Amino acid sequence: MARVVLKDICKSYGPVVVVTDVNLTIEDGELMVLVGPSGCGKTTTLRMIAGLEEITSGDLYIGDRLVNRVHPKDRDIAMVFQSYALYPHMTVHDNMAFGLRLRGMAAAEIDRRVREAAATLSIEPYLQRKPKALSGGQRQRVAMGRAIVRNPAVFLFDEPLSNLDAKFRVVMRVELKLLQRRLRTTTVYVTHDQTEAMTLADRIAVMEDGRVGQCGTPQEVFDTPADKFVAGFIGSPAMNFINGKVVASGGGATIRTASMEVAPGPALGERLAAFAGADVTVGFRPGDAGVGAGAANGFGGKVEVVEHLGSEKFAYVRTPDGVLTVRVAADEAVREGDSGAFGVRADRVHVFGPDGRNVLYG
Amino acid sequence: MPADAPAPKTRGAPPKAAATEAGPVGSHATPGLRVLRHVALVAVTAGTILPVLWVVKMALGEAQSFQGAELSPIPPDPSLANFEAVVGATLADGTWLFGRQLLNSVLVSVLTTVFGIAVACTAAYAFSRFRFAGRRSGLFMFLVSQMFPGVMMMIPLYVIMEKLHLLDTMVGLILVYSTTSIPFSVWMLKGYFDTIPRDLEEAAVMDGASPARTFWTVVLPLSLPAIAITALFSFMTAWNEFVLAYTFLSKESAFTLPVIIRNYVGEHSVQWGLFAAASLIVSAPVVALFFALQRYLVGGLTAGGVKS
Repeated sequence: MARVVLKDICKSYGPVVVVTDVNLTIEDGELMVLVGPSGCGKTTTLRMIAGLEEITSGDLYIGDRLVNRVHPKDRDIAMVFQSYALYPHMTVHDNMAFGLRLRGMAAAEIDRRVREAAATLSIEPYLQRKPKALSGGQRQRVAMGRAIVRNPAVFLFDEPLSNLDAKFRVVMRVELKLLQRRLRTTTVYVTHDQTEAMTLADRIAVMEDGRVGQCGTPQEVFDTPADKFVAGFIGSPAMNFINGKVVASGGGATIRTASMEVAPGPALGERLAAFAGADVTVGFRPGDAGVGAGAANGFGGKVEVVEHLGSEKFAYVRTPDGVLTVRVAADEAVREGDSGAFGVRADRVHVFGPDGRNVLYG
Repeated sequence: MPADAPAPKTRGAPPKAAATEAGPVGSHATPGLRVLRHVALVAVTAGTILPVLWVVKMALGEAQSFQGAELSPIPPDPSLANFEAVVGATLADGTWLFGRQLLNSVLVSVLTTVFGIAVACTAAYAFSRFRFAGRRSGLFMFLVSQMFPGVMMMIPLYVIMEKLHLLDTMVGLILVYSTTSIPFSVWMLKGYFDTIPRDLEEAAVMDGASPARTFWTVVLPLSLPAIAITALFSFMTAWNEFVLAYTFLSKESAFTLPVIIRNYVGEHSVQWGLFAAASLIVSAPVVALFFALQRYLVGGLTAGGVKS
């Protein structure tokens, strides 16, 4: 059990900077997800924690120990690779026992630990099989087994579910979360899938261009995104963005766009007033919009496409501001080709300044 | 030609798309064409096999010359006399010459292979995994060295061997054979190591394995097919090599088997029967090895061709 602290971590390959000033504290027992598009530096960050990449500058602590110059095997960590990286010529048992043997553990103790881990992951029947005789999900379990037999202070997961089919990914996601809850081992988990991040994480660190855009609980990141990138990356379907101009009115301010007049809630109006005259981006999530509109925050448009998800529908509405996504209830009569009025919840509107920061919550 | 084009007029030349869809080539051919194809195939096969059968005939026959020989590959009255003569050769003092020479060949080939593979494996792994000064030029030099015919190096090698007092010694021959086979082996093995996912080695590092341990317990076992085929090539080259052995060896007791075959070619006449029998004896171990390693061969030769 240990806390992992990244302090001003940077990584560059010659002139190419891939990770800049990452500051994160992963608390003891916490599951931290690093999420971001490919090339954002999340895997590099994980590999630096693992010790597979050198840290260019900054300090990395595992527990209370500075581990910048500590060999991976002495960091008390275990890693699960995207490709599983099981040794193809060894049986499942030997795959799991390999690390323990290298540490000179007694054979009886190794066997006990391997069987215990295998029981936890329900892979006991396959202990004598080679990896090629296993399904993707079973291999995934073995890879996790190899990590847990070591009983390390920290688990590192590098997109472990991305090679599984969609249905099984959900199953394994739940299993993984349960396992982590039970073992309470500090975990750093890398993924590009925001759904995976939202469902698994105690806290999410959203990365973009080598830096952490925001770090918080899934709900915080979802409700109060720090900038436009985080707002657009988290949530599916993605947040709607419209260009507009801030206009002072009374004590507060509203934003005028091509299709609507947006008035954020009264508490936020004051903060917005400071931006009077500025060009900003309005953002709202499809789930915060609906059919029918009051005077404020209403817009009209023609429904171009309706996506049916069973329990709900998403209408893609053509407006002067472009196509906007609106979530509607499954039983709502919204058909393709319909023209209608829609509205946005005032207290759920986000406004992003010219630099992309969220001016209401940033 | 698009796949949905009308059927071509000439039946013998199906369009490419049709050929790939139809499975085995020729399954749509007319019976006449099929016969013609088989005649051609049989002719080519016979052309390949007949010379070998002829060698067998010479070895089993009594005649030591081609004079009046029939084209038929069946010997008139087969006997093992030639084989007995080759195998039974002795020196004046009564030592079994053939046995001595067989041992020479086996030792030289096996030690060349073992030494060559041991050096090539480690070198190829370094070339595959590490980035160091001289890596590119080193690989390039290895490639270039393969472009010169071995005979070209004969004189410098002879001079070097003489200075080192290695002429007529097994060690000398092993060193020469190794140096010529190592560049090829390094390229072959490097190509295979390149296909082994780095993740496996990183997993081993995380498990606590040292680089040497990783190489020994993870990389080498996975490379057995490539090592097998490289070893086979190395062994075959050493086993069959004649020119260098003939140059560096002068004592009959130091000869390897290919050199003794040459001895059946005299100044005035050639003992073809003995020559053929000796050739077959020399070929037999290689053929046997080929069969033994067959299941690795296909995998080894295509190794690195596709990503699994």
